[in-house]
Amino acid sequence: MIYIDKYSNFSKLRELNPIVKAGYFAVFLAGALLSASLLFTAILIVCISCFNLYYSSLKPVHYLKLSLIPLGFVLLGIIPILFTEIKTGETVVLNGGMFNYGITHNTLIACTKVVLRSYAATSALFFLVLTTPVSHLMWLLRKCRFPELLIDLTGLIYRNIFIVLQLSQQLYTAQKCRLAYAGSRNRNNHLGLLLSRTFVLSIKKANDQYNGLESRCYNNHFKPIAPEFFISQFYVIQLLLVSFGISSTYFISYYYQWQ
Amino acid sequence: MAVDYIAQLKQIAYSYPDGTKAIDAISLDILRGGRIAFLGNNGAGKSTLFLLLNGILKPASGEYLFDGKLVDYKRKSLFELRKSVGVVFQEPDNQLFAPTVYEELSFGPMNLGMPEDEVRARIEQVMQVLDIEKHKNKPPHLISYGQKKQVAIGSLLTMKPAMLVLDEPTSGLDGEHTEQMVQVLDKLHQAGTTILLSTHDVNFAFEWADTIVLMNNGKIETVGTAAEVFLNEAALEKCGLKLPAILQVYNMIAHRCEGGKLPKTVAQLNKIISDL
Repeated sequence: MIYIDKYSNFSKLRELNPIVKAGYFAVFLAGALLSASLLFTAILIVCISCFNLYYSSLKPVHYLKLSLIPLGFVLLGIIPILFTEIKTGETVVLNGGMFNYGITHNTLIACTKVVLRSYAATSALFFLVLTTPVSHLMWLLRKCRFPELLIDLTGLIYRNIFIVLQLSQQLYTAQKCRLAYAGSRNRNNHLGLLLSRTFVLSIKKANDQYNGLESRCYNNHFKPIAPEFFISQFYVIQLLLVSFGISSTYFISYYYQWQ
Repeated sequence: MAVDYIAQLKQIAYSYPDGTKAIDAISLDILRGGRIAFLGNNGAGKSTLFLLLNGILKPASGEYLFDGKLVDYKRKSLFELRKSVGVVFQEPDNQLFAPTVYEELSFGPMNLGMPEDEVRARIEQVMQVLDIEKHKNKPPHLISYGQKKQVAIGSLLTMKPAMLVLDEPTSGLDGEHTEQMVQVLDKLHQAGTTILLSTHDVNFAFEWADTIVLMNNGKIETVGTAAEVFLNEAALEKCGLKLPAILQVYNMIAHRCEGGKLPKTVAQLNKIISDL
């Protein structure tokens, strides 16, 4: 199984101070959310994707596959915007027939904008996720004065996701070895067994893990050691240049009213 | 000279909530700086006993003395106990929860309230001993089972416990990792740490341990030196254990030897055979 957090651990920016990376993320996200023109958003997507590909250890094909996951949700979300009641005088792209519902030129443009904006925002998030390990993100959240309990829970849930995934995968393999999931009736039954067994074993694992914490003087509060980072002038200057580039392109697009 | 015991169990008993008697009135004195191996079949009570030693489980009856002080299971007493007794679980995933190996190693000493500089120095030292420096920034799910076991041990070593308890430390490890594990245990022993471990590997226990404890059905069947325990055939049979391979070979040629010390290693056995 490929774990997404593997990429952040092998990223070129792994050891860079997360505050600088959060700066990049903020600039990218601001650009994505403020963009009104399709061309500007498209340029932004290309720019962020280049950063993501260069600084993460991801291959272009894998990056594209990864991008398709949130894109699927976005495409489902735009359906209500895409199909609208057709009013007289509107340019119809696709007519729904007798229901007087269809796709118009305006809804098509609106949807394209939503898709591109969402994709740009997701790409900005990918930059943070693909270059910053979870422990560094947790450090960043602590710096931002997020509630300690929430951060501790984030860390534990993160670790347990992989334990449960591994557990369910082992159980699934054990089931498949004995010809499980053969018929449609069996499939539901076996899936139910897999889920219930994973749940029971997860509870046991959680208890065992709590013992592991207790045995090392855990007192209901995590005191993590701060990770070690570096701050490079190069990345700070690059951030300033990127901010300047994105903001000037934004103003040009605004001034010349790019579509 | 008075014998220096690090831990003493007096008539300790423990039952699980479902009524299963896991530990049945066990009494045991553990010598400071000793190497003690617990042998016994599955369900003999070894793992439960180890949890009792760290104070995770509270005995239903009996007394537990650590460093001569009675453990009263109050918050402060438990903190002191857990500071001095490190338990390494059989399944490393039960112990590793931090997002990176480095943070995992820091968990114990940070809980002890140590200054960060000292914690970092300890981590560096432990990583060097266990040869896990290259994995320090990786999350636990991206390292192998053997490496997880090493990290689990490392997470206790950074706390510098006086007594280290390891539940089947060599199970699931390949030859190389087992060898590394034994080397680490030897180093710890030389540094004065008392080491207790459970194992099913009679050959390893025979070669490594000063004292062997045979357990069966929650009770201690016999305690003694490796030679004493492995010559007690009745106890071995009761616990479903076989003789170490070296002893089996030695027994074949014993009638041709003129008494003397039992061989513990292949090299010692080889010498006896060459001297014949």
